Amino acid sequence: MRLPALMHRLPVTALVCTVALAAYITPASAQVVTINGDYLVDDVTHATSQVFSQIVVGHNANATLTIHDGRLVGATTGPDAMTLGRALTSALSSVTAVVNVIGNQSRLQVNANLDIARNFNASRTVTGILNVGAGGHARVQEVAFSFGNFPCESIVTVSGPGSLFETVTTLSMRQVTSPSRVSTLRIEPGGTVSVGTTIAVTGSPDIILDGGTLSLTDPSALPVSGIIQFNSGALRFRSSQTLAAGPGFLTDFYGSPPVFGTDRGLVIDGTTTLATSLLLDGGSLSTARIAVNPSTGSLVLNGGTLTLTGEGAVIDDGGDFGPDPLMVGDGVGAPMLLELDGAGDVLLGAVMVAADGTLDFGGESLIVDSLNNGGSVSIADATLDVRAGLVNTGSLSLADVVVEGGVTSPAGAKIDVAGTVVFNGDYTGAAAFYGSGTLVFNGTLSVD
Amino acid sequence: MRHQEITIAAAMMLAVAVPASAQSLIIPPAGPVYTVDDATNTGSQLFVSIDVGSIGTGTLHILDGRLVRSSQDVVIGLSASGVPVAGTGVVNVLGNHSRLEVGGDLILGVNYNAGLASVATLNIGDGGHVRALSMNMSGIPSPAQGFVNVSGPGSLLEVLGSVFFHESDPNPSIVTIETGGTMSVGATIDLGVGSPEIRLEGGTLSLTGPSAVPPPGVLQYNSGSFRFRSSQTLDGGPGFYTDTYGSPPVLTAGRGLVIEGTTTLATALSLDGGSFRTSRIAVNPATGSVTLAGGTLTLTGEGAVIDDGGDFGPDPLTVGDGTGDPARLELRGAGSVLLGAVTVATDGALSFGGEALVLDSLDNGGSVTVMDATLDARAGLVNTGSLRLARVVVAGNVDSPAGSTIDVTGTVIFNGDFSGAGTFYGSGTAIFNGAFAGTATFNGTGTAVFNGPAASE
Repeated sequence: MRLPALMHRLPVTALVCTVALAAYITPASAQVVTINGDYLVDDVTHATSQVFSQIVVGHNANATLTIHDGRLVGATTGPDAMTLGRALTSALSSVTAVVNVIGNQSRLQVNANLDIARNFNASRTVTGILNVGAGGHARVQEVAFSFGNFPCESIVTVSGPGSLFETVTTLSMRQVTSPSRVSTLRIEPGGTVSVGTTIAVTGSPDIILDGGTLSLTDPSALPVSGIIQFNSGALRFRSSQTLAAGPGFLTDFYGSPPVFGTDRGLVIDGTTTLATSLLLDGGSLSTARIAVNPSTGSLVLNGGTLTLTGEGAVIDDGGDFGPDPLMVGDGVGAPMLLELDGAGDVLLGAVMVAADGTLDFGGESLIVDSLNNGGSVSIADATLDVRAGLVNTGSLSLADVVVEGGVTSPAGAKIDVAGTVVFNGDYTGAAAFYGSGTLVFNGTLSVD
Repeated sequence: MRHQEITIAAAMMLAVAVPASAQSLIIPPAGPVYTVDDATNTGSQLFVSIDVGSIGTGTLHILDGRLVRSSQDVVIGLSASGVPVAGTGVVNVLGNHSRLEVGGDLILGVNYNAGLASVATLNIGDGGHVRALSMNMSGIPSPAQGFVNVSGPGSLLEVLGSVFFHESDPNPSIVTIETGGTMSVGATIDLGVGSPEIRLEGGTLSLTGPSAVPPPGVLQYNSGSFRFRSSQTLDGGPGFYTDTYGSPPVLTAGRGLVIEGTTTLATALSLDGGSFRTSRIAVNPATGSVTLAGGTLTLTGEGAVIDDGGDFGPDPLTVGDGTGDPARLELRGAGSVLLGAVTVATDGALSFGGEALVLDSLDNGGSVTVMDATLDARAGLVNTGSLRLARVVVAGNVDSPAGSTIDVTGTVIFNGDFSGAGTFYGSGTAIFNGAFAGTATFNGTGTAVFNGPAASE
């Protein structure tokens, strides 16, 4: 029983002391807990989830709640199910309260409002800090930054692959002077902030997109211009969108005509309809499929990453299934990666992969009119159906693949083989084969 | 419907095939066979309406990726009142990109002459597409017979609205969906009278949900997949899932299920040779489970793709069972995918194509393939099988003992410590930024770069 040794980690107010200790002894109960000082929830200190009715981290005192090792801490009951940093008129000092949700599967779940930095004391300041990192999740019904009456500051940082800060409804931020209320939301590489409904702003808070992803229902959920500092990273819209020239987020963040430069991305769940020319020049676009308006839309893949998660005609201009040929890379500048992640059959017209281009396919069947690879093509566990033939002068990586159609791969080209790779068409060329796999040639084999 | 138009057009015998014009195409008299392919036509073929097998025998071929579009209905197989010539129509839409687009009804079998037969056949194959606002099958107003065959990878019959079956007795109309082919119905399948058949023979029937599935007898499910375009709950109770896959449901060889959106599991789902694809699985921790003994589980979502409210799915999630029935876990989420501990058995395979695969641990005795991504096995990766990496950053420690293989394409970076005497293959470059206690023998032209402590010793 570690309780005596750990009691010092849970200094609580006299009012709720007994309740808070009971909450620790009996996890998953509906109790109120106040955390002052440092409180750690990890595999060593807790065997189960820690769910309370309400949680206050830093009540008139500094505090840090750290959630590690995939553990869950929950607050269930509103309206203010969780408060991160609070100073009442009785506070003897300013307050800094920190919550760290760190590591894969580590989770903070707040089923009602999360209040960050509430200050009712004119002579004190309150700082509330929430760090979500390394795959941690923080999910709240709604969140309010710096809605205290007196000086306060809210800082939320989300960083690292898989890290997610998610609001079911509204994310509200306030940044005003006199008295100073400051709000900063920073989204760093690998991190995602997902807002269920809207971002409500008072004054000019800072949303700093610094390599991560801001996920919204659609562009109408964006705050007014100037709030988002889009240094790098991606916007994500959870609905099909039309990209057209003219005022709006596309012009604001990507220019007109839009150019996706290095470290600038866009994710559109559903279909992206292109009614303008779009250039990937180091940035990224991820969407299910692209419908190209043949008279006003175009797509140029010079560099960056285009990820298409749909199936069938993933680039559809009503005719030739996209640019004909679809050029992946331009041989200069940033490398270009085309990822076809549709789980089923994907149809394209003629495809040319330049020396700085890469094409990855992970679905069931990739059906193209022709494939001319001067860069890198990687296909795993799939059928590659190249109806008018495949010419490989670059690097072709095949893992458990059936290739339909003729293949020409001259000297200087490379083919990496893992598992069993079957060429059902004719094979010609003197390319070097590498890998641990097995090759089966069912057509004619002509090695120069 | 254009019943009056059809009669008038047939009587006047006026229409001729004038490509890309605002004309009707009627076959015959445009010819017993009308072909749209690279040899005969250079552009798309646009018509107001199309009749194939109109009071006679006619065939329309659409090949070589050509497009034929009718702004109104397309009728296949027309027998007219007072004309003693039966209508027998065949439309073949074959080959990648070959397309027939119907701006109105796609009608198979129109019979105004009860004394005659009217037979319509639509073959969609090898990646051909047919799209129509709605489809009417056979027997308007007298019995007729319609055949639809959809087969081959990428082949698609897409009905944006509903499919209506009419009178087809005594000879039933038959829709056959074969391997690689898909029939997608946007709304409902109205069975009318008669005994039509929809034979699922290895292809996919895409519907809004289980309520749109025709009853047994009409639907003959031999093999293939159902695809539902909505989130679903499997609870083991009466209904489609129990009728089709048993209770608890087991997906056996040749049988598949695709659920777009989230699948909530309130029962034990087993894959035993079949396939299951969904965005993510929400497992009711009290009543639900997922077991991947054989077959293919494809998860297209991101984040916690198997979420049971705790350990991100089975702990560990075991891919395969070592009995020899291949099992495959395909993770197709474009971003970061989170899982707990994952064990890949000797007959298992894991494939990842997103940005970052983050796991508690990965124990691979089968094959693991990762392309253009970060592989973050926080408590370490143990590879006793085949590890295929193409342009990957591996975070965390890796142990790959003798007997295991690592195929390296492009640059693969190991940021953690590496140990073991596994053999490297491939044309790529392996960079070891952590401590290295392996053998790094490349069979090929691949290279190894050591930046960790071992390199300086």
